[in-house]
Amino acid sequence: MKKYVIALFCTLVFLCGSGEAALADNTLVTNGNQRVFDEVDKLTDEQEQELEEKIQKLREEEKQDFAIAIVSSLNGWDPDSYADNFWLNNRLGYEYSGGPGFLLLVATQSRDVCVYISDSEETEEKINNTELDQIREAVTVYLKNDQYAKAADVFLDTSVKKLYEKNNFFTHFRSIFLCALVGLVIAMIITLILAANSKTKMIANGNTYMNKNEYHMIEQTDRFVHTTTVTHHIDKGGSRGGGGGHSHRSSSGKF
Amino acid sequence: MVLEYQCPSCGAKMKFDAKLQKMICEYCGAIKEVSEVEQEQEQQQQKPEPVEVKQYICPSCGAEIITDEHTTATFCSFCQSPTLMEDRILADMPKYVIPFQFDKKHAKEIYREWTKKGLLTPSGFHKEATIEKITGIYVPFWLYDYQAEIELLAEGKKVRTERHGDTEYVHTDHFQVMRHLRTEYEKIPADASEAMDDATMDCLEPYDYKKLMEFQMPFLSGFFAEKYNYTDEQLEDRIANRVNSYIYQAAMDSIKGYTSVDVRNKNIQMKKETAEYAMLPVWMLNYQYKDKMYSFAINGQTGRFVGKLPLSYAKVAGCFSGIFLGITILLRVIGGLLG
Repeated sequence: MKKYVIALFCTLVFLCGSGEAALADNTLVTNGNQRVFDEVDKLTDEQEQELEEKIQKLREEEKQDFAIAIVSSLNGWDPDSYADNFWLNNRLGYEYSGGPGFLLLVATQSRDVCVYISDSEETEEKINNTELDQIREAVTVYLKNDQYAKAADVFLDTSVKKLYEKNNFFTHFRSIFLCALVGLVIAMIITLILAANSKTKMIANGNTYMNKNEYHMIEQTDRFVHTTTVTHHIDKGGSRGGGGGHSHRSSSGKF
Repeated sequence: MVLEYQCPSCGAKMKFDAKLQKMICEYCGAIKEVSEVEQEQEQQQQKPEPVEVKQYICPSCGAEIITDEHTTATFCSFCQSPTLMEDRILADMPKYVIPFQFDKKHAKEIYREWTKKGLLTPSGFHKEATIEKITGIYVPFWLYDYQAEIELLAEGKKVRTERHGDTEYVHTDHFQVMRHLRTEYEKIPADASEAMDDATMDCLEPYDYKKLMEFQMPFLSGFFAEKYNYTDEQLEDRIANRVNSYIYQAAMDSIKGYTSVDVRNKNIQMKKETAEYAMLPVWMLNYQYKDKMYSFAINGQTGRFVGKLPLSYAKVAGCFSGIFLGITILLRVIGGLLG
């Protein structure tokens, strides 16, 4: 009897393990760390490796996921839907499946190119749709010449640059109008200070004439009365997490 | 009576030398202590020889000296002899004096250095501005001692912020703050001369009272001096305003550690202790530039200068344009490189 119980337990353990493996096979298209998906061999193994390494590095630096998918066909899907399914089915995203990140989707037969963003609070604030189009346009230039590796590289660099641009204080000064405005204000302040300096100001104050430079504190109280508390709800933008759906945007076109 | 200090060696006129802080004979170069000259003068006055006049007459050349009713020390306009109106001084003797600490030559150097400093002054100003007149004047001041007390009630707020999940909590701790303090202010000066601009005289402060001395007439010799136009009572309001702001500031400075402080009530009491008459040294300088007169004052003790340099509109426009273009280009370049 004891042998049957052990055999049954071993069988259950085996079935559970193989069942989970089967489920995983159905859900995961590739292994969890892969970020470069080249179905049509447009990239050499070396190029794929380089891109994988670059993406790993960028993931940590930018707190965003990055992926590149080169497929032969979209199987009748529109680029945006295909990219969204691809992102979710491959459990892409920074920190959690469906989390924030960027995907470059290229379909070689239909010559579709799509730049997809799984939005986070950060990307929603920092990358607008025009900038999304700019990333796609930058990539398209190289795809037209069948330079897939270069296109992938430009996709990563341009995406990061767009993120970085909004993080950088000096980006604001790319506008000549703003530069001129700041220049105008600073010039006015400095000129007024210089003009005012041509006139002498009074420097003596109470301490100048205070006996022994000190006062006698007769009484001093700091009595706590009450505390008021105001709460603010911090809106973190679009919904996140695997279960509740996620927000995304994309820019599609032909090359 | 016109008083002239005579050299005990040669009989020529003696005047106070700011550099040496002694009386010096212009003719034979004899140098005497101020107190020594004062004693000798007193001994001479006991002799029945003083020149009593209703109108002041220069004892050196006999010319009539015309002054206004408040002048106590001046120069004869004919022979330039330094003369003191002793009877006016004795009638209302100052208690203190701070002697001049540097001479006319040094005052001119201070002025010259100052004219070089203005970045927006006209280019030729340094060379073209001509000193029309430089005058050492003992200006009458009242030095007030005040005792002041303040009771101040305020509400102090300390704000702290914390965040839990998606909620930010802003806590404001409210405190009832009370300060009751007393202090004494010593020798706050107020110029008592009608001719002197109050704001200019205020800017000349502070004087170093360590060099405040008992008044002796010989210090005035060689300088202009005036008797006060305003009594200490007449200037009390001006000083009371200063004391009021001083003690209020002292109370506010004692309240520390709050994000904001709103004063709810304040009660200031002040009492004038004394007001003493003092003569403080000022070099007054008038200069002309492009047919316009400017005036300039130097604290005769500390060398602090007060005045306004003329502005060159071309330089102001150039400075503004230069900074504007410089900053704009710099920001644009930085924006292009780092943005």
